Amino acid sequence: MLGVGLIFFLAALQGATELFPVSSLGHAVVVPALLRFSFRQSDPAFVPVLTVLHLGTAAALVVLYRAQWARIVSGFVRAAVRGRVTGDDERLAMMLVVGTIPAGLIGFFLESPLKTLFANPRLSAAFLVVNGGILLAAEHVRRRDERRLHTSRADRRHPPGDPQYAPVEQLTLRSALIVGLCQVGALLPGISRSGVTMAAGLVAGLRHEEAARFSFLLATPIILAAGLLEVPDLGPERPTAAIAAGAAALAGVIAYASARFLLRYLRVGRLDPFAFYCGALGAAGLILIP
Amino acid sequence: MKGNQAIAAGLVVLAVVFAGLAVFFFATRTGFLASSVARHYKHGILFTALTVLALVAANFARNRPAVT
Repeated sequence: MLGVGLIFFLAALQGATELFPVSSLGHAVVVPALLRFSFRQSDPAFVPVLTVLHLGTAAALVVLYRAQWARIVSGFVRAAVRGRVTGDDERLAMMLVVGTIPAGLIGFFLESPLKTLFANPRLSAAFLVVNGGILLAAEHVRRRDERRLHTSRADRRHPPGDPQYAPVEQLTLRSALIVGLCQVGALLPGISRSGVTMAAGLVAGLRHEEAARFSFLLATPIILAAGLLEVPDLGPERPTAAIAAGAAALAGVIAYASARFLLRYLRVGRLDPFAFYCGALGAAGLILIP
Repeated sequence: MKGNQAIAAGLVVLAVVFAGLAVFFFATRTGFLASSVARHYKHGILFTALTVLALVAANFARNRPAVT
């Protein structure tokens, strides 16, 4: 059984890392092992607690994009009934459906073997290093593309940078599907869902801030569905309702703040600092965790 | 022909199969596509969602001009 202090620590950790491209699941497995906390990641209460915390994060995302979600849901219903996509909201709704299917199906049917990976902090640390590599590779591809666009332009008035790239609404359905397929990788602890989807969004030609927006929108249904579907199966090891609600609320508030920060940061910033951080934490885990 | 009726019909058949699987998982204890023998409500919910998506896709295929 996990102690109350540990549950709230995991809530703060999960809220702070879920939406940053650094893998919250990887952190939840590696950080307690690095700090020599006296619990095992194979504890039967571990996954149920994380599941409840994810509901807090999903709620934060729904609140953050509440107006957009209202338009997306009504756009989906309109497009589904009419059998035709006309506006941006309908198009975005269809992209989210197409992008959610791969990770939803694979996560559902491979749930049991994937859960066994949570008990291996060293493996999660190795995946954190891989996650850093993915972020760096995406930024490398983006920089090369920016230089190519800059040098091929007839007028050089526009400096290389984000403004020449597209918003989410201009993504093709095929690109949305590819981003969704990349989300499958995030089922491994240490590979960040927001990291791989942002990286794929950048490679698909989205601006940094827009890649983050698409990543957050894409994450919401799958986090929410996974959380809600797990709640009835929490079993006797579940935390009490008050502790669960308090911890989920803490995770949600921190996730909301971190999402706002990240969206502001990505107007001018890049993913490299997160890549180096993941590499460093993963390396520390590989060296220090027995 | 206005839409791609063959694909639309195929997707409707798929929707019927998904609906059948949803009913099966809601109604019976089984180990099919699952790690243990039990009544798998989550599988039922998943196949219900897939039924809806297949019907939506069929509606899109119906309205889409056929490639000639």
